[in-house]
Amino acid sequence: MTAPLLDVRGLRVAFPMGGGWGEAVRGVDFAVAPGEAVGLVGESGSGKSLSALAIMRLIAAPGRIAGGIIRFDGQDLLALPESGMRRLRGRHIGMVFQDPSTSLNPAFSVGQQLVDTIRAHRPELGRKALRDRAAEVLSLVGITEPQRRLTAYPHQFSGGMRQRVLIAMAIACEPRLLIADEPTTALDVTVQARVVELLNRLRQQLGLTVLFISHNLDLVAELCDRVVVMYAGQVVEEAATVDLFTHPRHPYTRLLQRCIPRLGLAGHRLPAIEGAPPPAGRVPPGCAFAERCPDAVQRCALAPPARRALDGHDVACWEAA
Amino acid sequence: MLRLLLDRLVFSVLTLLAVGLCLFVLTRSIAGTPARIVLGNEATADQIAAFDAEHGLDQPVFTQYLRWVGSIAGHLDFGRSLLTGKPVTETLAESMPITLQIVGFAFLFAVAVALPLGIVSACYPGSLADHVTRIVSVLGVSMPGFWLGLMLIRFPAVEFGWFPPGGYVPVSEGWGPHLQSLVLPSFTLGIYYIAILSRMTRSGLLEVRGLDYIRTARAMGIGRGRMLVYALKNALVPVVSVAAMAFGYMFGWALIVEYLFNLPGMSNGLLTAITSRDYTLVQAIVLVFTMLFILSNLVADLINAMLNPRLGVAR
Amino acid sequence: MSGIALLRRGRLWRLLRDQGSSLIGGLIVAIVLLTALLAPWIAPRDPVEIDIVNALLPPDAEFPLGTDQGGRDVLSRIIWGTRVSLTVSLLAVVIGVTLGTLLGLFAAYHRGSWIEQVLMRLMDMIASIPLLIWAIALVGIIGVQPVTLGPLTFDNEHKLLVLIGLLYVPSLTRVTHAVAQAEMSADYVRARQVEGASPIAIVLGDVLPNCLSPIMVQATLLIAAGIVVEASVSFIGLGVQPPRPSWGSMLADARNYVFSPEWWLPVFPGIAISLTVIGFNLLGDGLRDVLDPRRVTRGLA
Repeated sequence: MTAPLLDVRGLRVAFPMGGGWGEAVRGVDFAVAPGEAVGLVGESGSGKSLSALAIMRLIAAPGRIAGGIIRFDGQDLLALPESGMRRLRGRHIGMVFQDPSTSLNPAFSVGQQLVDTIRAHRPELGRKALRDRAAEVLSLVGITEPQRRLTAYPHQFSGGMRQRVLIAMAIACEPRLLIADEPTTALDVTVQARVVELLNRLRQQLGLTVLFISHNLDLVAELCDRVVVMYAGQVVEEAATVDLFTHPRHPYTRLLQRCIPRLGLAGHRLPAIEGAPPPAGRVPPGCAFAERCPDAVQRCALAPPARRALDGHDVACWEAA
Repeated sequence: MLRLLLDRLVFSVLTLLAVGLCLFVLTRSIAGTPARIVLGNEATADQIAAFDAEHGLDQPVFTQYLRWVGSIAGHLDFGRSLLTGKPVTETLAESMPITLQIVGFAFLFAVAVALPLGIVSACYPGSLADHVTRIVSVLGVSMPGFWLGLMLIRFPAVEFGWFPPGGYVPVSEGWGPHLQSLVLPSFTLGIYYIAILSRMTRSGLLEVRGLDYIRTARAMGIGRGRMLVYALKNALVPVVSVAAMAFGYMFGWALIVEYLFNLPGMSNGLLTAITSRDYTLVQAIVLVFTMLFILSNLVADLINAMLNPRLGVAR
Repeated sequence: MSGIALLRRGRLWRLLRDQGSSLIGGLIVAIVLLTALLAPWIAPRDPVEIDIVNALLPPDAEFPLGTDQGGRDVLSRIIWGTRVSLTVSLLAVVIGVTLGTLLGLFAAYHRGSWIEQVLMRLMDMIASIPLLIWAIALVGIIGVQPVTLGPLTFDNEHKLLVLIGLLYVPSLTRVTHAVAQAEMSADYVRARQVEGASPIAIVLGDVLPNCLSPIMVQATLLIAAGIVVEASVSFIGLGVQPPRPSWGSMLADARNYVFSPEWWLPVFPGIAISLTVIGFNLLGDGLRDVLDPRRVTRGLA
């Protein structure tokens, strides 16, 4: 295997809680190879978005990265000064967020925001060149009449269009890695598919490496080569997409899979996993999932299971076989 | 945008007309017969009738009002003082520049201090600068301006002699003394608005700082300076419109400040007119103040529309 | 064990940190209110009676805050001044709140109709009157002498408080209207309508209670503003008339002594005003954090 483009080891993110610190991400390991698309899935609160923010070092205070190593292209990101991190963001790693309606600055035109992003990393470009490049990336993400749309303000775009604009901003400087944090969650179902289509196309066209965060396994299946499943701030299973979907090993993965809404099954009640993940800082000593797990046995509550390899899967479960 | 402008403009004019009518009727009905005040109690009925006819006071109030509005709108003629016969416009021309100057300086001073204070304290919450700003903002809104002015006259001016304790020095006597005579009044007038505006800037920036689009901008690697512009343009929307309104309010407080520092501005003119019961002058000055006030509200609305693309340009 | 103690301590500390300033504000307000109520019993001397022998004495054991040009005890005058100041600002707010709430509810009840349009536009108009200047001009024109209406005599401060109260109406109408019109379209109001409750019962019984919080916040802040306005107008001689003690008129007297060494004349009444206003402002801000998280009440008085 080639050296990974992104390598996350033992990542921990902590928040102050009642006098102490509670960890919302508790030692996460995963890697993304160049050109690969990896899906990071889990319920809300599983720590997947925080992991993504940690890679960009955008964890909002008072939260902080409490430990671990993040290597991008061999470089230790946690050792980088803020100025170096700023040069990296947008230039080498692009990021797209969940809610396109609030993620664009309402007071600036779309063109201005694109131009600012490009200029931040390519200060040598003149006005004309900046605008041309901005129009170029807009058309790249499938926005018609890009020159005219540059002067429009975010509120004049639909949700899906705004997400395209945000993707355009994220790829404007041709980053090697694109982190997409639930980019489709706030969109209509039909629009969701089109955004994933766009990401797929950009992957082919630009040779992008993608880290795709979602709780929608269908979308992940469409885009990703490999899937990392997270629960309560830890990775519980990791496998190639096909393997994961055909033979899920972790009971949590199996339950998640059953929750995918399927067309044609309308009228059926969508099964949900009962209960809720343990809140950060109150994780039980054993397996974090034990309380909700249909297969749990006594030892599950006593000690946390370690990750182990199992027919090409990587799974953290005592009972998986 | 144009529609909004037109709407606000029409409304402002209507307001001015309505408010002007109130003012006119109130002064006329409360004041009783101006002729008695001017001619004294010994005046005969004939003398009073002659006086009323001369000043058009024998007409119905509404006719008088229309005539008043007509001459103001037509050729900026606010009438003549009932007492001295001097055209009101002349009195205004003498006193208005002084008031405008004080309010202008106070406004610039307030904005120039409040914005940096608010920005610094929002950028470094919990820092010394932040605490200072918060104390200034509590004190500034709570200390009555005229008391602060009184203290300033008493200590820096009288005790230490740094500034003249009052009075107006015209430019003809040199720029130095002229500006010096404006320092304390402007400061006194401005401090309240420093408090208000710095506090709004601070809370506006803190509110914006946690928003998604600021995170997006950081994720795009946009530099610190540009980020501040991103945040400010949103955070300042309420600040700017309040600042524009504050400009109008300042004319009200200028009245106290002019009285306190003995400045021959418009407000002092109003007080003199009140004591001498010169109602034409009172009406005119109050109307001018109201105009300035409405105008600054109008400007506030327009700036708001300009800064907020969702209100203005868009459909 | 110690974890719980830590949590408790943390909570108390947080309460003090977040609400400490409003607690201070509440304390100041309580003291000021008590002073106003108990003025006849706690003021050491008569606030009005002239005692020329003791004129302009600096603060000492007998006159803790000194005496003024008439030999009157500054402390006693400040204590009695609390009464005047609070009467004017509280009653003005009562007038403003009563009218403003009723109009706001009325407009909200007629939401969507021309009545609401006209009423709210009218409020915009009144709001574009410069309060202080109109108050001064009108009091000036009416004259500062007491006015007799039938059996009642109105002192100058009564005129002033009515004027201030009327000029408060727009801001309180807006606040009430903003909250009430949102409430009017809420499901529970529909449910009450379906039940057949009368409009008045719905508006007063269901909608009004939900508007009270922001109204209270706004009222507290307007009390603070009213104190400053009363003091300012009294300062230029158009408010409370001598010899009645009021903070503003005490400062007006003190203005004649800026060139003399009697520093206590301007200093103490000013501190009284500032402290009182700080109290109401801190309390109002605190109430806003607790009662009006959506910030309906905003802007300057």
